[in-house]
Amino acid sequence: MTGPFNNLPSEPEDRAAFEREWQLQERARREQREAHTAGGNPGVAEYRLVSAALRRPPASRPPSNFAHAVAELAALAHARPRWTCASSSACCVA
Amino acid sequence: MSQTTRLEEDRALVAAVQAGTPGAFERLVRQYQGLCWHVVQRLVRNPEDVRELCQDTFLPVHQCLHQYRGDSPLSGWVGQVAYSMGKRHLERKRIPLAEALHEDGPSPAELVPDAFDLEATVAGDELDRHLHAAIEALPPLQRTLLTLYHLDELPIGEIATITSLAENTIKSHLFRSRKLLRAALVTHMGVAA
Repeated sequence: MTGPFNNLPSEPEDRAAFEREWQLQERARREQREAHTAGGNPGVAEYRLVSAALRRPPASRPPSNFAHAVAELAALAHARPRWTCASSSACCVA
Repeated sequence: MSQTTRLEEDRALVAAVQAGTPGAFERLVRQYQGLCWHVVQRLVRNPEDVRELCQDTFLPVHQCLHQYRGDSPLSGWVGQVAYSMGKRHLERKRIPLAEALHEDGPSPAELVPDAFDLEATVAGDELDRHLHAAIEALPPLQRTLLTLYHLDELPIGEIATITSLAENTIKSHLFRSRKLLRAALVTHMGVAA
């Protein structure tokens, strides 16, 4: 495959090979998500297993009181009299 | 849910927060904390850091909510701040965000002679552990992109908004990471057989 690692291939043959494999990956993702019966394509079957593993949520989750605690902190921060939105805040520069 | 309905709900939620409606911001956090957690957790991993960075994500979101124009999903905005927080954390720790993946592994499909009932026959705990270890071994950026695409089911366009990467770059990362995971799977099945 040509080109830097984060770009799509530019050569027509490489591009065609990329598209074929990409379609295989996407078909597996769709079929796994929609719980279709597994078909007879070995490539799709393998990608379905990959897709199933990728759809499993990480073990760590937000604590049950997370939203409440953050909302309280936000209310406190907002109540500060001299607060202004800093231009370097992550939301402003992201 | 259609994109229009989603945007209307986002606008209504933001308006409620800005109007000081009790519980509105908590509702917003509850709605997007999962996405935020996924983004940060995939980048950072340490549970304490994840919690702190997620908290640090929602505070500026609250402070800058007046800047939300309502023309794109709030998930993209929250995800963007979460991604930015996680990325800065990695930079501070001098942990590389992305690395090139090498695809030259064993040829995949040919190594499995009969994969008709592959999912039913080999989806055991051991295989599952192996795949998860392979996912965890990916660089932070690739882990995050895969999670946003497969678990959170975000379209590539929205992931581009969150990460500020070009759509083709995201597609390329997804492609190569999935190909690598498939190769790891096939190698493991070949060894286990």
